[in-house]
Amino acid sequence: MPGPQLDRDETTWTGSFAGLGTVAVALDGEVTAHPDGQDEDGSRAQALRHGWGGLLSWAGRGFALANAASLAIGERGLLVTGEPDDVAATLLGLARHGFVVLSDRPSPTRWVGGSLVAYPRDAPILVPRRRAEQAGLTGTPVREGSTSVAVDLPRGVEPVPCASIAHVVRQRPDEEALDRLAGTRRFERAATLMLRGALAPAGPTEPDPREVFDEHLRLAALPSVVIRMEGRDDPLVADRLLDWWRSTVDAAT
Amino acid sequence: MTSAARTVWLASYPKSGNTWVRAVVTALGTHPHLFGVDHLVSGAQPQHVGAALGAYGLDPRWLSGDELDVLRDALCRRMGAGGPGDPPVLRKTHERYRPGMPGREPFPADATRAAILVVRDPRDVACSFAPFFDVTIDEAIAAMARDGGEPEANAAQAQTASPWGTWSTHAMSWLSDDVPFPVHLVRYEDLQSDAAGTLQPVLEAVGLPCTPDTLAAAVEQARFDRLQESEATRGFKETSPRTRQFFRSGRSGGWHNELAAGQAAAIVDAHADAMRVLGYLPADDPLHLPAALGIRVRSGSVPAGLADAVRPRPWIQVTPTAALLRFRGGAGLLVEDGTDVTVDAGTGQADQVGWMVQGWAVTLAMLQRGLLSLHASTVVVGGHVLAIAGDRGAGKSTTSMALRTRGHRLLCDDVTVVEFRDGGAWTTPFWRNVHLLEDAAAAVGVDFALLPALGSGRVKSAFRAEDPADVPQRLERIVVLAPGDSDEAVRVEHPAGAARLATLVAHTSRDGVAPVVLGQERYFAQVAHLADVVPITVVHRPRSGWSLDAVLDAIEADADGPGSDGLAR
Repeated sequence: MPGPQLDRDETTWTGSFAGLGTVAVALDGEVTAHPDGQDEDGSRAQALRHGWGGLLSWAGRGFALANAASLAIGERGLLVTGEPDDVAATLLGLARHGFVVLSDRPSPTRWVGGSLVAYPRDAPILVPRRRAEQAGLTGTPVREGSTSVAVDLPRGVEPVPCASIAHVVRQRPDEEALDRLAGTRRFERAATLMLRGALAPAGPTEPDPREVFDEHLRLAALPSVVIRMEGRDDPLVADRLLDWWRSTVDAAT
Repeated sequence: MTSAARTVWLASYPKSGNTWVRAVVTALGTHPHLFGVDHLVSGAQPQHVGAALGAYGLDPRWLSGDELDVLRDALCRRMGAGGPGDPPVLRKTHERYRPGMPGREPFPADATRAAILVVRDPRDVACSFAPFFDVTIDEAIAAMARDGGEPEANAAQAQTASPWGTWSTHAMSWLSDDVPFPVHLVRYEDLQSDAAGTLQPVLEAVGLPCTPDTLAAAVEQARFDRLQESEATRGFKETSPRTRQFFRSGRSGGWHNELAAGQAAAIVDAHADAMRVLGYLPADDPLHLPAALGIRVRSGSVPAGLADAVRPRPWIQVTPTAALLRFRGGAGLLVEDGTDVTVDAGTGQADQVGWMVQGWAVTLAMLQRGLLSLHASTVVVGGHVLAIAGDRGAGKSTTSMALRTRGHRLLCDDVTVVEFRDGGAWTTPFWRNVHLLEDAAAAVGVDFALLPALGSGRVKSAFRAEDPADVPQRLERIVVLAPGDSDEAVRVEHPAGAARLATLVAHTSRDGVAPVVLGQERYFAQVAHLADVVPITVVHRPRSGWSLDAVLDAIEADADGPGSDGLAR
């Protein structure tokens, strides 16, 4: 059967996709990529390593992968969820305001004490080519036929506790540009943050549903906001998020 | 017995009723208390492969376009695999049908059970498309007529290519003979008038059985006002971020109040052929010629005269690039540059417009393009393409229709446009009405009373034959119907030498217009060439006491017989 295959056995996780190649992940985190055919520019090996093996490696070591990009300023982290293009716009905007990027989406995280800690992941940061050009960045194409390019942004190298979560979405008529989440709406958003399936953290048993529910509650305790973009080229999305950050996270500390 | 493959594509151009059908199907399988517009089945479109990648832990942004296409093919196959009797998996798509390559089929044939194509009048689609995509009506009309109006494929969004095509090419792609699985056509307008009655046979055919009662209940559950209410209270995640309301009005024919006349005309101009096929234009709409002819027709006033024009008849004025014809009742026809036609219907002569446009306008435009036009019908008799020519009243239409009733194929009535290439004469048929006298209609078994009348004293009606494919046909014989002056039996003659040329001139000069437009020398050169490459048969019929059957027998025998004129068939 063509298409990707994934085998998560107890010692090694192996992903294969005919035409792209095979990636093997030891549970100590080591990633071995075997691209199919000639790979003169190394792009298939990069794809296997950063787009697949690296993610499996974090999950294999028991990290939870949040479906979000992670950034930090000082000792406080921020998770940003949304469609890839919208997250990219937000990342580029926040980088201009002093944030460093810990990880492009998805982001490895782990609960340490009572805090959700985001860990730096060294894979390149991908943004749509059009978005990079708008920001005046020279992106490096990652694959032929892909609209994604890798861009250089300031990177964080130390794990940082997450202080809040921002959900970036497109604004519809009659909707407010900024929506502070509370109550069940915050819980609902929190419940969709962590990736499951192949990227669920490896563990001896399936997670207890009560533990999952408890995790959702802990995520819902973080200040959370929906930032709405006025069209895909809204230049102020990062500014609105920053205003909220200052009034909520900065004010609380 | 349905196919073992499970995928049933629910195909439509955007804003054509796809979601409504999904709502009905969802309601069929959902307890009424749990039904909500925000939880419709089959919403995942095949180009959205990103969600499925989560199962493998792959970041789609690292995949190439080719790999995403392979992935889409593989996912379609996995979702569509099944066994005989398995229920169908309905999957929405706005893409036009395209076959693709092995391993990269957008709609894998062996994983597909069938498709349901939902179509809607493009004038109503435009009214819904504009607010949904937050564009003006004019922008919507332009997008619907443009290939590439869909969002670009985006690896960052994990989408493979998803070409919609134009409104026309979308619909016709799914109805093409190239589609290797059954396609069930559903018109939005039919759903509106009888949703249950329209859907029941289709759902049964794709293996989603339902009783009249359960389907009626589902239709009631998915009533448009209920969907609107559900959207207002609970929202609808599938709606465009640019629109306030997904379920807008849902009416058919709302375009009458929402489109300016020019906007409606622009849509018809762009999509006339497909609209005619799908029943959105009257079969005999006189103002819209098949797009393949490349002739633009508009209503308007025409000038009283043309400067420096030749008048081969008192009612005809011709220059090399323009022709102006005046008819009874003040009707007029102006044809310019081989492409632009202006029709002035005059007073009380609207029924003349059909033959003015389909006959004279096409003939004049083609002459202006340098193409000869035979005053003849094109019929395929026993596999041979014949032009049935004759003077006015000779019985071309009657004979052609009668041949049709014998099982031969009528390609085009009254106008046979001729092009020379590959050592032969070729004609490309186009759709036009057959104009019949009452007795002629009776003779060929057509109910004259049921046909739209052609007035102006001609006492003819318009009959719509099958659409001919606009594929060039090599002309194999010209049959000239010639009322004789004796009482002998029907007689067949194969003229030779100068008689051949003389015979053709009578049926190609078009009231003296052709020599003026083409120029005498070019006109006679073309007629001579036509006489050289196509055999001619003259069928003489007696003045009285003849039967149509005898004429038809003679034509059939001649078509099947060896050429008696020395020309290759």
